[in-house]
Amino acid sequence: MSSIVKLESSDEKVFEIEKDIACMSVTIKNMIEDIGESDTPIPLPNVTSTILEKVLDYCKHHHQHPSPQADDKKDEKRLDDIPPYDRDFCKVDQPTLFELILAANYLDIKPLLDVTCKTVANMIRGKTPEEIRKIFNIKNDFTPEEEEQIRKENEWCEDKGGN
Amino acid sequence: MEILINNNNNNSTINNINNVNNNNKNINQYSNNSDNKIMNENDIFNNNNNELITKIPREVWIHILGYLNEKDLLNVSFVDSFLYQISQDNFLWKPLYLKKWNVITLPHKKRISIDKNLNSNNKRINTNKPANNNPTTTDENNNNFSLNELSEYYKNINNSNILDNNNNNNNMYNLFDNNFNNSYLNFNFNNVDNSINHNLNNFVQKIFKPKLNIYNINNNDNQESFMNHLPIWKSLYRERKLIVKEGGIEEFYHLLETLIAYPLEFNRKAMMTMYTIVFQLCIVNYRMMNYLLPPMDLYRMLVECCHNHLMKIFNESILYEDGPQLIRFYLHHWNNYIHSIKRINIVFSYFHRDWISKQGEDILARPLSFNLKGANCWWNKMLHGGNTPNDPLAFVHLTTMMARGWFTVFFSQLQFDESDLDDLPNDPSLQPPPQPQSQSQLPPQPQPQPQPQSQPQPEQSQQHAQPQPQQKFNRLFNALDKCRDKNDYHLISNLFKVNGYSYMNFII
Repeated sequence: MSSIVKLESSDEKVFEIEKDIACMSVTIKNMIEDIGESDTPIPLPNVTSTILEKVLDYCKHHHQHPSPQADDKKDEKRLDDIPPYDRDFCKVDQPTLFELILAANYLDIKPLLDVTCKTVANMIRGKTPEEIRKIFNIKNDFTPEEEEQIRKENEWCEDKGGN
Repeated sequence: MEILINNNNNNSTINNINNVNNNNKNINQYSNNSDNKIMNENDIFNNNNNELITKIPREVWIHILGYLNEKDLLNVSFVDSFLYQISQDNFLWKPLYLKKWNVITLPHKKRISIDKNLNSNNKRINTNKPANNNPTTTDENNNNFSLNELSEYYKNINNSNILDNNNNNNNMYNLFDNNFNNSYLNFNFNNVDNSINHNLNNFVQKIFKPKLNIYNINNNDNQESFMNHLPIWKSLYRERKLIVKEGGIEEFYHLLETLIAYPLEFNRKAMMTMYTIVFQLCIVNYRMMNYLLPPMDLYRMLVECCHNHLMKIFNESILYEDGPQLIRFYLHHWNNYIHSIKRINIVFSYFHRDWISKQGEDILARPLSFNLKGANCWWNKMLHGGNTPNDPLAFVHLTTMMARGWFTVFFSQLQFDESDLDDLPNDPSLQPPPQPQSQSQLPPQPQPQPQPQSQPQPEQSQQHAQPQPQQKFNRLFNALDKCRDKNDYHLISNLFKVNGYSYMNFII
């Protein structure tokens, strides 16, 4: 078995985890490789314990069930290939989801980042601007003139009569 | 009112402070604490700045938006200013562009049209070309050229064209007026009779038109001004989309232009797209979208593209001093040419096989698999205007030769001197002897002459054939000399290797 790594969240909770799992985060992996292993926990001042816990759950699950696809056919960005576990994993409220994205970005966990981003993209896909605003509670901050200009700018895409 | 606003402001500032505090400590209360969550929502409603989404860094947003298509992206740009900014990013649009079209075409300029009337009458998408582009500007241009006779000639022809166009169905691509369609479709090169002569003249005139318009490219274009602030990839995408929407022909033209200039950009998929377009043009009733495109026009388009490309190269070459730089420049373009000619041959192979070959071997047979002999003939034709000065057949021939021979003449080392004019050395084996002769690298340049005077008509080049060689002929030669002075043998040997290679490949 691989050795244990200690991670410390921003609210000073310490998590112990196998090195292999922790190394799914490129950030931690680099840290361990460069600095060497030691008993002192690695502080993660940007991640809270709740989020870190979820992230570690994700890592554990994927460590045990490595995803079959080799991830090499990366040319196509698909939105519909989210595996079931991941889909459930992302069924959280928006703030948490965004926290997860931030954590994945911070810790550099590519699969987690991908899957969370895909989830957000799915929320946006096929929606009108108004719907998007509603979903993310965004306030329209354009002046009417600006709006008009953007509308003009985007005219070219409006297909009259389908694609 | 005021009070209200004040209230709001107060609220928001308070909330802001709250948020800052929250952020500083830790943020997990969102998920745990329903009270906090509600507050957070309030926060967003009262507060201007959508803090939830702005918390996510730009790069991550780009990652997210990278999963979306153009339509969604545009919708996103409507949402608010933050997302608008992000949705413009080149990292989003470039992949979309490549995914959709495989090949990046040259930045779209106004198409250098073969036909004045095309511009003035044609209903086309205004962004490509303002409709008023033309009659006046080109006429002015004509006046700049010292070739009054020719411009008279053009004017006459144009008048007749306009008449034709008036009768024309507006939905049709005006380029191909009724007369033209008939003549193209029934064209038999072996019996050129008088009625066709006229059309041939038109045809020739149209082919040479780009040389008039080429200096017009930089005209101001008000209609596009509001697009100027768009980041480049988005606007490229937009342009391409408009072109594609407008009809396959315009798209094809740009693909073709790119194929000639940057052949190596084309991957297999893109090549097949091109081939398919050509195939469709040849087969499916010569129809594409709403436009009727007789195959002859396909060919003409090719000639036009080749020509424009050469003009560009020529104009660029003027900027280089004689010397290694110039040689490198030639080498680069020669290599490019070798690739592009192969690819063009592939793309047009159906056209060759099925259409051209039916039109009689003499004139158009395999127009693109050029060889030195062909280039020579072409050169001769251009100087002499064919057997009889105004023989329309010679013009057609000329254009054919141009497609297959221009490059050759431009970059290879055909011998060019007095004797060349008198009795064409038709034997290619005479050509290669490298150094001593006047490297006719530049002969074609007589016509592309740098500026306005470029009216590449046979007659014209006839006038200029004599002075030009003296001035320009030895450019490559000089460059080589300079290289030798600098002991830059590597470059020289490269040059001959390349040319030798191409002789081997193409002479036969």
